[in-house]
Amino acid sequence: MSDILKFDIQLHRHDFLLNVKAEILEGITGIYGPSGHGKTSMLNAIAGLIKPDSGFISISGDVVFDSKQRINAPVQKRKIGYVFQDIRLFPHLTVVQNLKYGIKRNGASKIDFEELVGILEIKHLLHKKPGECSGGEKQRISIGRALLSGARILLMDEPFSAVDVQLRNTIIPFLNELNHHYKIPMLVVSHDLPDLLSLTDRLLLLKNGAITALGRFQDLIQDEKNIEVMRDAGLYNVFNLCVFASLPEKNMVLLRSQTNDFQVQVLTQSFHQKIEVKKQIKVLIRPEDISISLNPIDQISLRNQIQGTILKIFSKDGLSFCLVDTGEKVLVEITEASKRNMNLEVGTTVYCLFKSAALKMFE
Amino acid sequence: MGLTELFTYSSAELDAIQLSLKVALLCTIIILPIAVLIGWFLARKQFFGKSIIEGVLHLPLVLPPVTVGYILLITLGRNGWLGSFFYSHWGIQIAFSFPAAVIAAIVVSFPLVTRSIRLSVELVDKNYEDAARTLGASSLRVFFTVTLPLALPGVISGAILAFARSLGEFGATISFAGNITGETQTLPLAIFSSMQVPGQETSTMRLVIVSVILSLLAMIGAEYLNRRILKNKA
Repeated sequence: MSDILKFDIQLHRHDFLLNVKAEILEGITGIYGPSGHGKTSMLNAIAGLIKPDSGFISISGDVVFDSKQRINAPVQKRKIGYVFQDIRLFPHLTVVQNLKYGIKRNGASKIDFEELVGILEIKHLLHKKPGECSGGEKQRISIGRALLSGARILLMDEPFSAVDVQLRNTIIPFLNELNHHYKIPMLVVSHDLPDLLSLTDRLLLLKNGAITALGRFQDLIQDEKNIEVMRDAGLYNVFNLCVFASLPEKNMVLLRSQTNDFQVQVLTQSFHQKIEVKKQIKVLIRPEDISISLNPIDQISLRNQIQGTILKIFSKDGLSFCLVDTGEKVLVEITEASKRNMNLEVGTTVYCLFKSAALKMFE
Repeated sequence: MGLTELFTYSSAELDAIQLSLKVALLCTIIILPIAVLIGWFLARKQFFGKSIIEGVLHLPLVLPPVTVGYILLITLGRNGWLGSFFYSHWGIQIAFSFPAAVIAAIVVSFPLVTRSIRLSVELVDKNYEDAARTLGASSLRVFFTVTLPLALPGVISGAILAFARSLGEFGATISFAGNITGETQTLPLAIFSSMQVPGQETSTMRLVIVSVILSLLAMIGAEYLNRRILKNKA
């Protein structure tokens, strides 16, 4: 994968300093950080809505800002699609006029209008005013508007915050579909970690105006520092699995990793769509929903008992986080007391136990 | 006085009515683009000496119109510093002519229109302009497709204000354009003239009725347009 966006920028505002440097790859990158730690400022600087004090920004090798060379391309020349937190559809224009507002920029867009309208399911809204559309519809229209403007990269600021939980779950598949279909890189800001993880494994962590980590979530959780940053948001384990077999007699589906032996069983009812073998599924589970035992347990209702070896243990506020290598790396949260009673240490062979119902799935 | 008499206009009276409408319409058409530009500039730009410029622009609002007319006369009159230049180079005499009546109306209405437009531009959420820019729109396109349409109610009420203020303009007109029948004698001037002559009460009343009706129509028109725009936006 080639880097699509590179930046190294410094920006002082009152007593806040944003100092960020990163190379963003294709695909979807999630930006996580607590509120007020510079996420939106970073997006605004990349888009050109605010000017950094120093540094540079390049998009697909095209330098749009460089304080040393005195380059500062205006917003309209940067070809960056921006989906704002407050959506900002033009209230005086119809939906179709909103969607087509940016098309003039590059003449023929590589994105087909009719096709996009179909994917976003907004065909019936085209001649309405934004005021007549629901929150989720507006959100989809604004994503469509940004895509149609010939953007080289899509910046999305809290795309889930303006819509309720149910709508969130409908927008996530849209974004995944758009990313697959149009191969457009996306930078998605959120203060909600599970939302981000349902969308992408690649995370950029921002704290106090600085990037503390950038990489695959599965790698990030191996570092105590990152766990500290992400803990307030509710930590999750994320596994990319695919449907291996359906077990109708048990009312279960077997999911398995494509790169190792890691496998889990989930209830058939958890699937919203048709179960197809080989289908990719993203599975999330909270570290506190997993238990550890030293031996497999026969007389128990739990279907998932996965053997692994403890790689790392960090202690925090009376809790122990064990990183268990089961093929996939699984983060487990137990109490300090349990850890002591079981004599857990790095290298111990353990079983990770969890209920199928504790798994969250994104198809 | 009889009812028929009240609606039988003399040609001089009709001239005055026609002239008034012409002055008001021309004033509105000329003033709008300038006021939109300056209103936008004052709403969106910060520069050194802004408050002084604003003060000067608003002066005609508080100065007695006669004073405004006198200032125009000493500037644009045949012996004025600018007027003498026009006269000696192109033989143009502005004062005491129809254009003078239009200029007087423009100067007096200008602060009202600019103020109305400026306030409505200030109310346009800048975030929409930013959104338009991220979609590739140039500053000019942002202005014409986002800022101006969203500020339209202010622009329209500004236009109506200009029209109404021009219809009522008296002081600046009489001192700068004079009171020449058929050329600069607008409705208020005609009313004033007929008031001076004993026995002209019916003529005065006829002109007063027209004056009231025109002003009323302008206000109703403004209200109607504003409502339509608000409905369109929702």
